[in-house]
Amino acid sequence: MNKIPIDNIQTLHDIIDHINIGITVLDTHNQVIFWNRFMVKHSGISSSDLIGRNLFDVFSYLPRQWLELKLKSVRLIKNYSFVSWTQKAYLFRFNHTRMISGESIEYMPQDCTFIPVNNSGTGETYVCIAIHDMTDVVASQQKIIEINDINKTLEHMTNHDGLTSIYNREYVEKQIEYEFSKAKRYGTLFSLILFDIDKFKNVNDTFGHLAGDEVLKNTAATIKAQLRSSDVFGRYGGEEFMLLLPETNIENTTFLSQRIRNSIERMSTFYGNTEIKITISLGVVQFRPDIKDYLQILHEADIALYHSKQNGRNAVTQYKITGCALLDCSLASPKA
Amino acid sequence: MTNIQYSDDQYEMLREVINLAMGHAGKNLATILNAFVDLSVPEIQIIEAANIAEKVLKESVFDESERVNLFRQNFNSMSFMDGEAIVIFNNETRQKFAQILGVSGQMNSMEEVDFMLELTNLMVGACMNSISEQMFDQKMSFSPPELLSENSVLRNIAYETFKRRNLKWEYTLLSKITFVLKDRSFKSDLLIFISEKAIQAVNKSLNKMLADYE
Amino acid sequence: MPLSVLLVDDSKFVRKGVSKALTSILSGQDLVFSEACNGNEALGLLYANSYDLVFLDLTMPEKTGYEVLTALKEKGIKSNIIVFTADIQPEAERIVRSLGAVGYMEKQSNFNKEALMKVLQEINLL
Repeated sequence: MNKIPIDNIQTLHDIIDHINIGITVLDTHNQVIFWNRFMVKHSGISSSDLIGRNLFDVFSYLPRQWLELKLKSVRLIKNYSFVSWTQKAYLFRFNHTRMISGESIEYMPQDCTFIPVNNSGTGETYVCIAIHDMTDVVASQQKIIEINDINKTLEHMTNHDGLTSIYNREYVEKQIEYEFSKAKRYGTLFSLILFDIDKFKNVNDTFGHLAGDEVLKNTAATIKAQLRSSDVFGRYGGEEFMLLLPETNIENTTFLSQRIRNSIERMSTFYGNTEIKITISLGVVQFRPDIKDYLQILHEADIALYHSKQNGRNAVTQYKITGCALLDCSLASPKA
Repeated sequence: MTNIQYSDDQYEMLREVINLAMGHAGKNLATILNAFVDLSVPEIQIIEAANIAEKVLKESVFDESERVNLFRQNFNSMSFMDGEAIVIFNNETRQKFAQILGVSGQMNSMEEVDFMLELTNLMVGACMNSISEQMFDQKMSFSPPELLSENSVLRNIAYETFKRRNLKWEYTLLSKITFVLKDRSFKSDLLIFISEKAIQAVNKSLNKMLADYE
Repeated sequence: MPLSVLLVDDSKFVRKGVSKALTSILSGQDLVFSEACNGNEALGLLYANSYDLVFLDLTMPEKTGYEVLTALKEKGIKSNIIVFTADIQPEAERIVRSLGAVGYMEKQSNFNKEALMKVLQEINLL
């Protein structure tokens, strides 16, 4: 490949002028000293009409107080500053280019970058504002959000996870909190199992997301069949699950953990004609009076689970203050 | 896995480096807020990933039960000095922005978040550039700051953010700097997490600086 | 008479740096150094002894430099105090001078000998 020599200012100037990003350069008094074609095209104001004029005089709708503060801080710390469309939908009121399915978007959504530019002649700091058109990103995100919103509302109403039909995170957390206060007040006991599917990303990448969903459903169903009615079983996040066991000591919990681990190892999920095998890693913890709240007990379960992952996965780890203990994989019988 | 522990001398040298960096950030903050910023001694420690939530809760200027807003920003330089910064503002501070800045009326929620992003960028930028210039004689690059969480109880968000499995490393060099306005209307914690591999680079640089003092 | 100097800073490297620089600038003088690593220690020494020159950090554990200056002012103790700090807000200099500091120096990554000479000239020690 040949290198293209960019040795004269005019070439650079042309590139910046034609690039599909809005470029505006302001001097220390916020007067416009550069305004590229992107800005001309979308604002309808030509470069020659604008240069030398104060930006705020021409665009009186700009949020002056806010923008002046921004410009001030860029000049002060001589560092980049950013504004995402997620924070502020747009800076300039430009029409967006989407004719179809853009009806809910008022103006072109913009990501803005503020770049300090040193004028080596005067030692002053100018600010370059780069505007990125985010219309397409916003349009596609809106669709996803709409679908997610419907699912979220449904889940919220039913306490259940839409995909696996077991409890959702909010409900399980509420139940842990309840068990926690009960244990603190009445000296009752409970244990917690946190687990996730090993290398679940591989399942999705290899067989696709629909196959991944089947695996999640099958995992939930396989485990649910082994539980007591008082146990609270929920999906905690993507491929994470949580099992709250009231009135259960650590010995019985670890026994159950091994049984679950073993059952998932033997489980087969069929997606079409493809057989998918998975394993899970688990972390178990029992309530102790010195644990401050449910956040801390979750934290300990998370550390134990991490320990299982670090030690080859498909394993159960019990949290101990003195250090996590990886448990023997053979099925021990629980104490009577 | 890094098993590096810094010596007392190294920590003392590093504290002075961060002290200077804090001074720069404090000056910028004072200029933007048009007020006097109270600085305190920065807290620095190499810490295991599993203990971060507790450490943050213990060292924070905020109470565990306070509702806070968290922002994050990545930084990196060519000298293997990389990591992530988290800036915490409490809701109380957030509600006083308009008053602090002397702007008329209330700020809306978007403007408040944007202002916190701006302050995050300012504090992290000033601090990290100063550290990098002192230790490696070069400037840093930064990702745009992001909102991590709004209006969350500090204890909840600390355990959520520093979940062990979310952290892909064993150790970090954690520095905590607190900025408070004299009239207490503004409070903020800046947490700097320097990556495991950067701990080694910092170690080398500190040794060089120590040698200069001999 | 040797010149007695108190160095107050929580970093021993800063104390070392200042004493080194002073020794080289005031090479004709006999210097006696005392050190304190926090505000409380500094106050203890300043109540008990008098010093010809004091270098005082602002951000320190126990008591800050501001608190040290305030306490001295309240007791009416006057001393040649030069504040040497990373707190570079313009307001910081105004405050410490109003609390009785005779000099103010910004900490920089490399010790600024010229700034120190300038401050020493201001208080007629050079």
